[in-house]
Amino acid sequence: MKLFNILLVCFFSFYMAGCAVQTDADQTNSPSDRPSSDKRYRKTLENLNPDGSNTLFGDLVFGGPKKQGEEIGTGASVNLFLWRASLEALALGPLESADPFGGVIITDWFTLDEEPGNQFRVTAYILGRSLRADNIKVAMYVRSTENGKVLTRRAATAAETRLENVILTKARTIRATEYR
Amino acid sequence: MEFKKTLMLSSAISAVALLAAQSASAAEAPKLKIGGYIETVAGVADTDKNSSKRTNGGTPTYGSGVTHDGEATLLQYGEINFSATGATDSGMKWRAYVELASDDSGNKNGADEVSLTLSGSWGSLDIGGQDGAADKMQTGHTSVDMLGGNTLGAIVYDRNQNGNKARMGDQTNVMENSDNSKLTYYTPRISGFQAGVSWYPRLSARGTLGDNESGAKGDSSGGFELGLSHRGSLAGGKYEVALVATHAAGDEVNASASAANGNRGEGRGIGVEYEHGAWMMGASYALNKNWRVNYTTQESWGVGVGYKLGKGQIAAYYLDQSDDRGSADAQNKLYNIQYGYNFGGGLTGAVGYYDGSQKNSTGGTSNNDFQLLLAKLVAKF
Repeated sequence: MKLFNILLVCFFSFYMAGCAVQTDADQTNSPSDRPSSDKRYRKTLENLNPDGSNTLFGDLVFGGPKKQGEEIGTGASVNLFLWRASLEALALGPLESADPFGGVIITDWFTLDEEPGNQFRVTAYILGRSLRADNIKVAMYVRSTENGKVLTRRAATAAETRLENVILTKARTIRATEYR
Repeated sequence: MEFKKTLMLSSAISAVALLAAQSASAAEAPKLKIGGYIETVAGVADTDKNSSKRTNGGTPTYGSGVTHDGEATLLQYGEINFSATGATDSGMKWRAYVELASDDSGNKNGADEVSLTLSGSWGSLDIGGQDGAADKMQTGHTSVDMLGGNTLGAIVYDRNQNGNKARMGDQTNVMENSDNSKLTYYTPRISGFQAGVSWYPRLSARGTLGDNESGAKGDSSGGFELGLSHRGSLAGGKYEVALVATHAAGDEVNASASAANGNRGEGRGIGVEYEHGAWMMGASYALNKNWRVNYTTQESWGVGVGYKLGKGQIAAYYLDQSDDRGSADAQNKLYNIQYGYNFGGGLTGAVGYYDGSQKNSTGGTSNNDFQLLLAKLVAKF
C-alpha cells in the first residue's frame, strides 16, 4: 500500500509537470466515452474488424447535421473533416479561392486589429482522403512595411505547425460530434 | 536577423491564436442516436459441486444461481441505449445518455445508466449514474478478453462456508460502486497524461438521498474514485498504464458492527496494456479491503496475451486471487483460453475454456475445481 501511494504521488507529479506542455491535438477519447470495465470485452471484439461495419443497420441517428461520407462529393480526393475544419479556421480572412477537388484553400491578404502593422495570407493544402496529420499542410505569409519598403516573408515553421494542429483538432472534433 | 525572425514568429502565432479563437463552433442542432446489443451465451460446466450440497457452481447463471453440473445453459442479455448530443453557442458539448438493460433471469430489467456529460477543451464532467473514474480508467489483463465471463455471472463462483461468500471473478478490479449516482471529472489528455476523479454522496438506496446510519447492507455510503493514466509509444508499439484508487466511507457512526459498515472499503490498483503489431498484452494488480460483511482483504493479479489473426484473435490469461477473511481464507486460480471473431455487419462471437480452482483454509467440501466451456454471439445495432 505504501509503495502504491508513492507511485500515485510520482504519477501525479509527472502529470502536473506535463500541464505546462501544449495539449495533445487528439482530445476526443475521453474516459466518459469508454465502456465500463465489464463491457470492454465487446470493444475488443469490435476492434478486430476496424474497416468493417460494426452495427447491423448502420447508425440510427435522428436530427443534427446531415451525415456525409468522409470524401467531398464524387471523385473528390480530400477529407471532408479537414476541409471543413480548414474553412472554419481560415474564416477570419477573406477567401480568395477554395478548390474542394484539388484540396486547396487560399485566403486573401488580411489584417488583424491586434497586429495593424502586418498583413497575413494563408494557404491550406488537404493532401488526402483520410483524417491524418500528414494530410494537412499550411503555408503562411506575413507582409510588413519597414522603412517604406513592403517586405513579404514566409512565417516561421512553428507558426504553420500550430495552425495545422488547430485544424487537426477541429477536424477531429467535427468527426467526433457527427460520428459518435 | 534573429530579432526579425522572432518578430515574424510572434506575429504569425498571434494570427494563429486569433484564427483559432474566432473559429469556435456555433450551437449545433441536437441529434439522437439509438443503439444497443444483444448477447446470447451457451455454456456447460463440470464442477466438484452438485445441487444436493446447495453450493453454487460454474454453470452459466446470472448472480448466485443454482448448480447444474454437466448441463448446458443458455443465457441472453440485451441493452438499448439512447444518446442525445448537442453543443452550446460557446462550443461546449453535452450528451444525455440513458441505458436500458435486461436479461432473461430477471436480475436486470430497466434503466441501468442515466447520465449527463458536459465536455470541452477543459475536460469532461459526468453527472449521474454511470461507472466512475476508477472503473473507466483501469486496465490490465482483461484488455485481451473477448468473452466477459464475469459480466454474465458465468464464472462468478460463490463458496458458501459458515455464511461467508468468496466471490471469484475474471477481473482484477478495485471495488467501486458501479452505476450509482456520482460526479466525475476527467482532465484533458496532456502529453499523454490524464486524470479522473469521482465523488458520490451518501445514499440510502441507489439514486436516493437518505439516512445511512441505519446500517442496512448495500448502502452506498459516500466516497470517491481516482484514476491516473498515461499513454505513449514504446519500441514501435503503444502502451497505456493506469493507477486507480477508491474509497467508500461507510457508516462511521457504528464502525464496529459489520452490518453498519455498509459498503465501507477501499481499493488500489495498477494496470498496463501494450499493443505491438498483432500482439496485445496486459497485466494488472488490485488490492481491496472490504468491511462489508467481515473484514476482508482481497489481493489479485492477472496477466494476459492476445494475438490477432485477421478478423480474429486468440487470447489467454491467468488470474490469481486470494481472500483473507480472518476465519477463512480462500485462494482462487483461473486459467482461460479463448478465440474471438468479428464477422462484420455488427456480429461478433467468441468461444473459450475456463479452468478454475478455489481452495479455502478449511478444505473439504468447500474446495472446488471447475471447468467451463462458453460460447457467445453478440449482435450490435
